Amino acid sequence: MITRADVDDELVSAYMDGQLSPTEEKAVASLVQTDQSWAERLDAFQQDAKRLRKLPVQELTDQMREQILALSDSNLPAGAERRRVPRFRRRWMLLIAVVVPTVFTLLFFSNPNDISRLYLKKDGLELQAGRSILDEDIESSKTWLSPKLWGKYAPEDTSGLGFQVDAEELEDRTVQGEVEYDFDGDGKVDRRELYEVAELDARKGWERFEPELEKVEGDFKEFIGGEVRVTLRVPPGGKKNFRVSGTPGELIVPYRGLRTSKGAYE
Amino acid sequence: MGMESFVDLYERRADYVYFMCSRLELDSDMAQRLTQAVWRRVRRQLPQLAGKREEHWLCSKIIDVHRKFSRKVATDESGKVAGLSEEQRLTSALMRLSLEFRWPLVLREFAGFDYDDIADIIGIPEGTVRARMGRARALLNKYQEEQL
Repeated sequence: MITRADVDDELVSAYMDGQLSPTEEKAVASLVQTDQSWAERLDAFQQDAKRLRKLPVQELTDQMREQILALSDSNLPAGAERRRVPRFRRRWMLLIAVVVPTVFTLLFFSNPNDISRLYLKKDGLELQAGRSILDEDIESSKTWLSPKLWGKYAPEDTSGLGFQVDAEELEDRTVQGEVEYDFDGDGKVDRRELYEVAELDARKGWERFEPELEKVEGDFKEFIGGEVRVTLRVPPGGKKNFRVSGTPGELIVPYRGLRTSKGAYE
Repeated sequence: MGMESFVDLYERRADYVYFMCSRLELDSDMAQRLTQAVWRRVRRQLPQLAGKREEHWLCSKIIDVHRKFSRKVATDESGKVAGLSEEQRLTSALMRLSLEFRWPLVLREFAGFDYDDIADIIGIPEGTVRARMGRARALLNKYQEEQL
């Protein structure tokens, strides 16, 4: 049995939404009919709900629509435009979209020397995999720099950052990855990728993260003696101290035939 | 599902997703960033949509992404601002709500979900949704009065 004293904002709100049991609904209906203060409370809630639904709607512009679609695929450069095509042509495009990546995937896996990874090692980013001796305590950030690189941009290839970190038993630790590309070695950053914040647990043991891209500035270009810089840092406002392991930390880059001045393996 | 399904879904639901994101984050730049992050998630997890209600699934992705997104974005805790219109008082009050209260309110008022759907989307018990809806409405009302 529900008494007047039991009725509160929760019941009035649920009454308004038609989410009460028959017993509760009867009790609240009776209350709002006989008690002016609860009737006013219900009316206030109803008015707020009505005004909320009347708030102006922000329209998605065509430009925003195209940009969001382009950015939903992290391999596509920001601002890439998508043409609207008839359905029958889309079927062909779908076929091409299936066949082309399949062929490229087969080619990629058939050629293990086609390096598209840079590994986070103790002294920087390296093309050679193998055992990493990186195991380092980081206070707030660490940056890995690649050697000078040459390589052909492969837009159909994927890209991404993966790293292994641990905060041991420290609580509320977070790490964010940033990748900066200088494709021609002129010292200017041509593309910057900011990855989503990774939240570390407070249990001892390495945790592997492959965060999603949060923000991208600039497009991929050919590597002509350029560099890549990867930074793992505590994001602004985050608590300091974490550990990083280079096994298996890596940056996957959409390039074919990536090499240094000394060859594919340095 | 392949690329065509994603593009079809995007064409069908782009406005809906942006609308919901723009209700969770009223700043248009923030809403756009949230929308982008949601569609990236949707593209990656599209096979999970099979057999599920589209709006329900999309809203669960929106809340998942907003949960991560908002850890980096402080809730607007601003106090009284003079000279606000009625609409501005309402939007300011909505943004002052912490996410635990804003999510159920937005899902109810703008998407029309029942409490059991909201519970499923946010990942909390239905009783908690009911309690939070009551508290959300009370706070929304209180915050607007504080701006008078």
